[in-house]
Amino acid sequence: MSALSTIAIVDDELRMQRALQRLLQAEGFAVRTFGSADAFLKRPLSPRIDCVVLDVSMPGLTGLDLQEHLQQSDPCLPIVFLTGHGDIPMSVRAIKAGAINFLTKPVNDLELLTALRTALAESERLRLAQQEAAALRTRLEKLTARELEVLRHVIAGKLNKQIAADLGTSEQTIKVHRMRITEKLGVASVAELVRIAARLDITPVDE
Amino acid sequence: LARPRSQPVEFLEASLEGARFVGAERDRPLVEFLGALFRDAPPDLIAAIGGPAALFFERHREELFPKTPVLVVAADRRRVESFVTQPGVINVGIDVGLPRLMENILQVLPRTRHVYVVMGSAPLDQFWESELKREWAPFADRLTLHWLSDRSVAEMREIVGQVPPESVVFWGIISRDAKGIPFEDETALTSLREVTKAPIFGYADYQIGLGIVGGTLAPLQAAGAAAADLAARFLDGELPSSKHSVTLPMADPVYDWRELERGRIPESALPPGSAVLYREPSLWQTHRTAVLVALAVTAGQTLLIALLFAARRRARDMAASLNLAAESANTGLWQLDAITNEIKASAKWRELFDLREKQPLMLADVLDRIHPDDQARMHQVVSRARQGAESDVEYRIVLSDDSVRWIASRSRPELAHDGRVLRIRGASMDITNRKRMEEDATMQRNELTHLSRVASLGVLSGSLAHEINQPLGIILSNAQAAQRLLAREQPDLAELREILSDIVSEDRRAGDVIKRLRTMLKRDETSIHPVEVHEAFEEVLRLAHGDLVGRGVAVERRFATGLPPVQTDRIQLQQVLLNLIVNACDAMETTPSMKRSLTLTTAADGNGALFTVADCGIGLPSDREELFQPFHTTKPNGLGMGLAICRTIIDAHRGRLWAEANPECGACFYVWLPWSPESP
Repeated sequence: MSALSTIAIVDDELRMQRALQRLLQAEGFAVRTFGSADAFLKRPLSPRIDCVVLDVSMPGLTGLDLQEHLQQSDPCLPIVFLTGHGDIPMSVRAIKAGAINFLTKPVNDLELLTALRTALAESERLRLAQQEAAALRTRLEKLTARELEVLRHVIAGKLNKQIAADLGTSEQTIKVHRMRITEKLGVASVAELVRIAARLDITPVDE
Repeated sequence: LARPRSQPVEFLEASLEGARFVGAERDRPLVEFLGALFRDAPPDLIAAIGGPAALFFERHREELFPKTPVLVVAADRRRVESFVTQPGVINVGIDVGLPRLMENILQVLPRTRHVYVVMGSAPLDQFWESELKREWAPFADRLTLHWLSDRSVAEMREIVGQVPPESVVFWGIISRDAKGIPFEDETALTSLREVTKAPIFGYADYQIGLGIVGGTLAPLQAAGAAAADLAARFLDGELPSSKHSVTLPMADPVYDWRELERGRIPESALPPGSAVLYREPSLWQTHRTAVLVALAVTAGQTLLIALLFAARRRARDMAASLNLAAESANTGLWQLDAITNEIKASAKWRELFDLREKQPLMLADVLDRIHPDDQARMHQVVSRARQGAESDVEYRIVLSDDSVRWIASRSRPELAHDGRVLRIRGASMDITNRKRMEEDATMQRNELTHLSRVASLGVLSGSLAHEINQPLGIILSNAQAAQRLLAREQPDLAELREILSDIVSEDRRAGDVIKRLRTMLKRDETSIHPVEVHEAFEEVLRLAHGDLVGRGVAVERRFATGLPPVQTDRIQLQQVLLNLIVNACDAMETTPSMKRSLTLTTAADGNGALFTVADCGIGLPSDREELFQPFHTTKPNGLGMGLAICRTIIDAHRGRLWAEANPECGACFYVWLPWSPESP
């Protein structure tokens, strides 16, 4: 995990903000506090926030409204909901919309911290996966259209001879294409090619 | 018109309420509304009912529906003279002969000396009042006219309830009384009739049967029927032209038999050719046999009683005949010698007080019987009686088997010629049953009030949980943070001190919430005291805070400053306010969350305070009084008792609770309570 994760606390009561802030800081987190969903949306973007602890019932824009907003603007930002009401319909709506967790006040320290750490880990995992996918995509862009076509035949399990026949060229040409593909993508075995193709949503030919 | 026809007729009814408010600027919203409704095709026919509606179209016909024919119905010619000359405007009008209305009264009650004229304060009402003043001026030398248009209906009821003999009430038009409260004709008329002995005269034919005596009246109903006829013909294709216009004369005289009886007006006083409606067969006609028998028996009894009195008419033995009557009424008679303190009492009395055998019977024996809680008070009563005061008291006695009885006693002193008290004579009665029933009734009422309060709080339970969970959450997180801080090498003491301070505050806060809850849930007797208005309101708001926030309702306060306390029971008042606030939130359930707002106001009003709770929700049903009836509810799980109980509570505090629609949206509930007596 990154050196110092920053948690945002959004709650309309100052004392609640302070209490949670003290707890999280004692655990080694950096904390930024906000008195309303609106204030959170208007925040300066630095330091970057890794997770949001969000009170559900606030005057004005509610916690659930904020979640909807964030789905659009910041879908990877994990949210842990806190509520003093313990309202079941509210929690179902929140979870359906992708909340990691929904906790009721008064919240036990271990519960809260577990939820936060899970959320942060999950978020980190997502981030890395996205980075990886982005890197692969960059490499894929280096392939020419022809090479891409050849790749699609390869991952369908076809032999060079077949591919040559399908595409109307010689087996030798196919071999050259395959060499280029290997260089550009940095992988050799067909199995790995299949895996990468799957990651990047490239369909084998004839499917 | 709604009867079956060749083609179905679609009605749009737009109520002007214009009679009630001033100014053509009020027209704008309706004009725009009508314009929008009929943008694609104008209506086929417009019926403008009454003067104000006709005037509205006089102002806006050109703009809205220049080609649509207009039927003006039941407007007096004075009001619509110019409008009805326009092409396409057909008049089915009336000509109200105002002097005729006065002649009605004088014909049947020639000795009338006072006429109380009940009129409202809206522009329409005022117009007619000035007409009346003008046309009734000639009558001013034979009787006194009292104009009540500057009074609220509550004041009118008071005045009219105490009129001198030879008075009548003339029921004019009330669209709105001086307090600004709008009225429905029928209920107002009936309510006025209840309080006055004077006969009531009206002006229109539809009022017969609602409590007016009668006479030659303005033919409003007849005009309506004639107009419907014309409308049907026009919709069938007949072309409207000025030959269709007609002005109806006053109707033939008609009277309500029940009001004639009530006002003791003989039928011989009615003008020839009058119709008399609602005639009830007299008691004699329906129950002849029974009446004859009853008469016979009564005659017999009267004779018997007269004989009894004749036989016993000796001054000293008047007591004996009283005894006879008293025995049958469960009354015991007694007599106390003021000097010896000895009591002589009837057998019935001895039975009542369980002192059958006691000889001699002394005052002390009786005082011993009195219930300990009533002892002090009764001792005072006795000593005052010894000084010559009459008494009329209720108290409890405890019998030898420990059972308790309620007794009502009356006494009178017998004085010597020098003013000393010689004897005290009295009568006592067992009222245990009545007392028990009174207590039951009070208990049931308290129970209902209490249950209703509990139910209201139950509705808030979600937000009450929030009110407690917040402080608890703050305490827990602070404490757990403190634990971590203490585990360090160098704990930050300043931080720890702050943490503890927060914990203490939040603990107190939770305690307050619980205390407030307990107060509301306590089952208490009604106690009427001076109550600070704003404090009470703020407490209710704190209680409902969680709910308000949870449902996204913004609260706006407009509180007057410096209001003296009102005379009420604090908790019951808060119960009512809470109910109104919760109702308001419910009404705004479907309102978009940005627009959910609750406006609370307080202000001085006459000799009391006026609170209002206004919302921007779905508004009120057309019958506003329906809301306050028991079992009226719009919620699927509602009990329907809330507002009925609120009314009972406020009435019991001598206040008023009513509702009105807001001009823009939603509803406004009004609570009025009197100031406390000590207030200036």
